Amino acid sequence: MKGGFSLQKIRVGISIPLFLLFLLSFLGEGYLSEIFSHSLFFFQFVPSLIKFFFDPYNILSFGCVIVLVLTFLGGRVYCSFLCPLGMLQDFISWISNKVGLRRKYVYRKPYQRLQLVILFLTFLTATLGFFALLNLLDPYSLFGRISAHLCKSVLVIVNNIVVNILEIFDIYDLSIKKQHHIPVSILFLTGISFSCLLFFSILTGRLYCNSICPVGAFLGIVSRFSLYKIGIERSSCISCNLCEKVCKAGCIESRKKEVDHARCLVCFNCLTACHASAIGYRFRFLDCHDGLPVSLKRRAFLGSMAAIIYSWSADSLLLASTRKNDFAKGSPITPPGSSSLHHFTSRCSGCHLCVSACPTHTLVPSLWKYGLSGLLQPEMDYHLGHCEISCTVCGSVCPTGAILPITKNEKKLVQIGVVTLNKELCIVHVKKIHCGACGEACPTNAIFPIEKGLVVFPEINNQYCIGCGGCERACPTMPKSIVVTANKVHKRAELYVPPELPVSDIDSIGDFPF
Amino acid sequence: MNGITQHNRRDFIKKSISMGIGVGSSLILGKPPVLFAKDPKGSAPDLVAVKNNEPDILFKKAIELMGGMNRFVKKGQTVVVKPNIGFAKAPEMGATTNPLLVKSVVEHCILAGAGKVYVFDNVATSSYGIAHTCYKVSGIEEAAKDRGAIVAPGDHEKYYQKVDVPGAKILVSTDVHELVLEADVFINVPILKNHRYTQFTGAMKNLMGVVWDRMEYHFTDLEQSIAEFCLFKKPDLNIVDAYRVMKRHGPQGRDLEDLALMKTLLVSQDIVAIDTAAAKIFGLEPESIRHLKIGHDLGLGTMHLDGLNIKKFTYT
Repeated sequence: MKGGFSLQKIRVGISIPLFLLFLLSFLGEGYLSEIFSHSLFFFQFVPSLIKFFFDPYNILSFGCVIVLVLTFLGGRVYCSFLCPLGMLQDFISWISNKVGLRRKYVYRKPYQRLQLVILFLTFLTATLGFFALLNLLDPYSLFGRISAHLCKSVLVIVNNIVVNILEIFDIYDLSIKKQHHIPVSILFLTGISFSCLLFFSILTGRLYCNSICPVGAFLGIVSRFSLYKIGIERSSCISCNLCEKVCKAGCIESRKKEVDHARCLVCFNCLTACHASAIGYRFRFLDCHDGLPVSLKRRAFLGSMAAIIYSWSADSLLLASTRKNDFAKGSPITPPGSSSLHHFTSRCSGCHLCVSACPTHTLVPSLWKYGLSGLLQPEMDYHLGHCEISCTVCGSVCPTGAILPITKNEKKLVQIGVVTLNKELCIVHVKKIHCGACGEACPTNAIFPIEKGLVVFPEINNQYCIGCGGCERACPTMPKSIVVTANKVHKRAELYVPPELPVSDIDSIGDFPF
Repeated sequence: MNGITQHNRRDFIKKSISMGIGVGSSLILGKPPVLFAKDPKGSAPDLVAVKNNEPDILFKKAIELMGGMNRFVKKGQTVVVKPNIGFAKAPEMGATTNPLLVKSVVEHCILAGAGKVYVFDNVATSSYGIAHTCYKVSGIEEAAKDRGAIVAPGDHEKYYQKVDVPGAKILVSTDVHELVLEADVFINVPILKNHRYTQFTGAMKNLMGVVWDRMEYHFTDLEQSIAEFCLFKKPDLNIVDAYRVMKRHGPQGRDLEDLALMKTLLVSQDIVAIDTAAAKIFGLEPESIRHLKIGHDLGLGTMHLDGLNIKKFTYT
């Protein structure tokens, strides 16, 4: 198995560039994510499954079906070839191996029950519109949060050091970057997730994938029945134990010469390691045992059948159990394209790609804002940014369809909220002196000036307001005198048409007026 | 107190790096500015007004009437040119200073022997990333770089240093861009346009773009603060772009219908006088603009154009 061609090398050759693209789309400034998002995130299982659940007849939501077919054909290829979190763990394992933190893997007993319970609970709660577990555990979204918050912070610091040095030489081609706002709770949660992942992968390789990950559990059920499998040929095996030492899934029990196919990630490391050519990746490997009692197999099969049937009916269940969203301080503002609070919260998996891509840092991750069911879903926050009227980045990168793509022209009239002006706080109304900060920032003429005496007062015309938050961001008072309140269902704003007034009343040929 | 320590941020980095590397320190520190004695006033005009041509030609004529750029920029000096890059609008929308004019100003500075010419603005919208877009869309970044200017950022607090404004009632202290503090020559290049909440934007209001926290102005007393900033620093030269003048919906503007093509340019060292002239061109009564009156009363310049030596030129 040594030499030029090996399945393991193909895997590495595919996953390294893919991993870099994943990182780039989370670290790049919006436009990179826009370029890659459609092709790259098409195959991400959970985002695609969410899309498929709501829109099963759309070709763009077929990624999860393709992944299922692939799994049925050749085992958990998703986990080795397509999952960014898997690649991240492989990368950490590789480094810890190089550094000498861990030299070899050993066979581990399966955490079958735990993982199946997690899968069951995640599936059940998600289909009922309760996204906390799914958003916490989905490998793609977890990877997203790690790269958007942790990796990007490091990149921003490095960039700013370079910029500070270049500026001394009057080179201003790179600019100071800021990290988007990360609430402490989110940073804490992401930090903990990453630490656990680090601990798992340094110690035991892909333990996360085989004990917690709900996607891993689900694909594990399917991969039991896959057509192509890794298996040990008992006749040629010399019990040298090499395959077990390289198995990052810990699923090869060389003593019994058995492979646990539910946990096998088809990374092909064992194929390369085996000197006796006893391990193969073959069609319906017959001369092998997967070490699982038949009863459990049957249970798993029945379980997955039940799950599939349940998921067909869950759509109506979800609609029936329209969640009550009682928000004490008004509901959070959802980004343009998300069409309604319900649409957004029932689709967002909390990967924070939109947070990382938002050019004005207006989309901010929140922990509780949507309640426990909408754990980690982002909201619009106008304290640090406003939603630029010509920008449609979040909709074009969102992999789950929580934020739908809209055109720049549509965006100009999507009303995600409206403003209210508190005249008891507004400087102009209180002190009777000019301010104009809100009117200056308003791109739609929702704020207009009214002259009374010598002072120009701001007034509101909400039919033109799109809720972009430009005014709230600009307002100099604390607390803000002008505040956007969310439209739970997005509306369409009217287009402002200026009155026809003669503008050029100045004689441009004549003499100067002084 | 704070101002002094912050004042030396760039110097400090410069020195520590030059010591650390030990090579090329002369390159980093740059040439010491050569100081010249000021020209005698002579017959130079107080205000120049030219009209009916393209922005760059207008400026060439105006600066010639002012006595040439050499009067203001000496060999080796560092110049800061401060246009209005406030919004991400194309040049033809009249919301930002005409890039052709900026180009011409930079070119004349370089020809006069300026060591370095910096161009920057702290744009009106402070959300992250907007400044970058404004620099690009306004066409000013490209135009300025084309003639050898260094286009510097103004969208981060680290570039600003706290200064005290002597004699101010409202704007007692504020954070000013370090380039303005370091510059030998400070040239203010605003665009004349409508501002629905302060009536009009000219030379004095354009200086809001060299401070970090413009919301402080809005919060305390906008017009008083605008005028009082000039107590700290008055530009060495003001150039008001009245080529395309936004007559309504300012300061952003909605469409080309808002514009009047006036093809006019004003140049003066007196910031109050130039705004008074600009207000008249705009069709406003200068007395009705509060920051002009405050500026006049503070002795920053004069609103009485009658007593000034004004040179006018109209292309036919």
